Amino acid sequence: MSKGALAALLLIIFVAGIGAGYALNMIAPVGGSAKGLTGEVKIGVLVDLSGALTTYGEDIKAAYEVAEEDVNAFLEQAGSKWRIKLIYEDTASSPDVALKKFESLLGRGIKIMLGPMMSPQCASLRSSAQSNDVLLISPSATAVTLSIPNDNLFRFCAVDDLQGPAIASTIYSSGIGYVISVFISNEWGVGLNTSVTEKFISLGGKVLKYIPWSPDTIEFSPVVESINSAIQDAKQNGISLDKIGVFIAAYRQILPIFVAASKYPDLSKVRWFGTDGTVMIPELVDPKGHPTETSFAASVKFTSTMYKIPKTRAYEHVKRKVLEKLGREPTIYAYGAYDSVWVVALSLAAVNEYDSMKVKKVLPIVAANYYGATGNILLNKNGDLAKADYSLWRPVKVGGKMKWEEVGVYYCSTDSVEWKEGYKP
Amino acid sequence: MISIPGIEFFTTLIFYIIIFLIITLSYNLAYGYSGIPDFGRAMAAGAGGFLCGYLPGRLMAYILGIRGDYLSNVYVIVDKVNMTLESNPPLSMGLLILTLILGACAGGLIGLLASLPILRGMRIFYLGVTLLAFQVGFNTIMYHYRPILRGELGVPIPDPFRWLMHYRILGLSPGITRSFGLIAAAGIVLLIIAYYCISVGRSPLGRVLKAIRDDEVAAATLGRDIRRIYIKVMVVSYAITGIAGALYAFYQGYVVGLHFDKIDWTFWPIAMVILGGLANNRGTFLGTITFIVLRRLIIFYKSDLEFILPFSPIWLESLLLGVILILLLIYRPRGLLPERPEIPLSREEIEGIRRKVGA
Repeated sequence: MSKGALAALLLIIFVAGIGAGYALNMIAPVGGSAKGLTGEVKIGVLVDLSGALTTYGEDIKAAYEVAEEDVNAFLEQAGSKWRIKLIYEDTASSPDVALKKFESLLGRGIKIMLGPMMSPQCASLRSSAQSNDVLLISPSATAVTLSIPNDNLFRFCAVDDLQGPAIASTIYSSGIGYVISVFISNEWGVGLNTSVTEKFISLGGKVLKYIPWSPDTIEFSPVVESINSAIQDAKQNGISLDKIGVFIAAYRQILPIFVAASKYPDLSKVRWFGTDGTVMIPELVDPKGHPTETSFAASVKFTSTMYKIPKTRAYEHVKRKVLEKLGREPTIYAYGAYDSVWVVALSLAAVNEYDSMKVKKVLPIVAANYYGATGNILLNKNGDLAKADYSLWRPVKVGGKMKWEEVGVYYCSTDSVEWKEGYKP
Repeated sequence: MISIPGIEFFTTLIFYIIIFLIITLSYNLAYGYSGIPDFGRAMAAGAGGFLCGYLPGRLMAYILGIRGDYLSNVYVIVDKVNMTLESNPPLSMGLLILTLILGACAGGLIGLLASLPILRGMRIFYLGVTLLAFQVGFNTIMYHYRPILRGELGVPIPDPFRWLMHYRILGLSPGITRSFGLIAAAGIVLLIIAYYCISVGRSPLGRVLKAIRDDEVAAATLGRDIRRIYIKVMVVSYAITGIAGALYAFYQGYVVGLHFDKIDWTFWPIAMVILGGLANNRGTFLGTITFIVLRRLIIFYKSDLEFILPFSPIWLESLLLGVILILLLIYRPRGLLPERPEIPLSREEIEGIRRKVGA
């Protein structure tokens, strides 16, 4: 066979493949027939199983798995002809990878996706999701800039216009009047820096310095050096160290930052405040494996915020199941992830067809009437959690053992912080 | 159970084939025909793509009278722009054509700048590495310099195909109709580019390029200005790739400095051209289609293979493609369709001339 004929044959096979694929697709859409769900209903999952958000990603994946089992058991009991099937893709804590994995899931005809986890990932997918009628439900993307009405992104977590005031009030109520804002330069970090510092200034505080760092930073010595130099300048201006706080918006980068910061004596004499990105990181309560990080976190009373949820029956169920799977308690976002699977499944049952835009319409109503691991899920016009209180977490020694302890609560309705006994500033 | 590809799989596949055919045809012009070892191709695609992130949104905001800081309110502004474009197909198409033309200009300009070392006498052999360094620098600036694309945050891009979502072809979803529109636009661009590249390959210019590639000194002794030709090829080739970058950015609807990285936009296109066969446009078509189809199928089916693989299927794509390329280089180092000697006239024509002159 000549090469030209071979090329032509390959092209014919390719075109025939397209036709066959399309025909098969018409026979067996992703969620059964056009009307009435049957068989496996595929739901995509974009989750970070590598990179900076691995810890959260593992928790969230475990929660999705628990939810999938629970939902399918429920559907079986109800005598339904369909089951949900979650298809996982590792988005590697990267917006670029998330976009490729989104495409891969879309190629399977999947129009309902759980995730992605990070705000920059949501930002990179938003347009494509909009153009392809894909519904996204993120368990943990909190950037304010993504609060846009009528788009296809729902967020089952409190966003940063709620978290920013919580952090600022926590810092201010700790007797801190001057803050150095250190933040990762992505959608989430930049938004959080804005909402924290604006609120802090409105409370009467002053921002000494803004220190952004690039998301691809590996070596943090220059960042830590900048923090130290800001503190030295403040000292020279007569500001005492107990009036200075460091607000830091980071993920697991907090670990190398703490290692680098431990070399500067003054950095362990000021208070440090984190976010939902740093709360519950196991290495910060692991004195054997990570002595430097643990000791630094304890010495600076490192306090991080995480939105507070009621301890419902479903909450306890998810906590126990994830503990069995991973050997540790999940972070708070895992509970929202669990709920998102249930809300999607119930919405699908309500519309009884695999139509992402119909699911989008009923989802806020279903969420508001559902009571799951995070209680009622009231969404605002932007598809984000409408209101939230925040727990304040800190690594402390309890009974000779380091653990993350809830040391206070920020109440959004009264805009005030209530410290627990023994942890008052 | 084996998964069945959805229609989205095929629209994505065809779009990727078209985009990468535009790039590989232009790369074949530079490397296959002219022998320019170009490791900066991603920079050309980026020029078009980043321009797409910078210009259309701002231009439309200006036309619509939306004032204020564009980057601070980029999501809201682009949503407003999209609403206007949705109801105004001629404006959408005008914006698309203008951006593609400017994307080509941006690519061409980068090509001109990238070829300056040739003017200063750099030997072509060293140009490849220099361009790789340029590309890394270019992407780093785009990723960190805020005023263009919000640095690490990236920007959404207006969608000139959204108006198509009001139509339904064969009862398919509005998203698919939009994809068909994108494919049609990219297909038209590919037809023009392919016609141009094939024509160049068959023309006396194509033979001059090959002559330069095979022996610079010999070509120079015949009166050819080698440097000037290199620069022209670089500008044209980069301009074509710039168009592909702009089309891809419209497809994604979002752009950040991380996009257009050297793996996907430089090394894979090189692999596609080598797979097909250098200086052979038919080979370029075959290599690109084979490579993209293979890659998309691996991506699609990898999770179905999860249960039989001894490692995570996440790594399957890179592993398999690497193995295939190594095998190809061992067994068919000149590609699937190797370059053939150029015969400007057919045997019958030569025989006719011979008879005419009575030889």
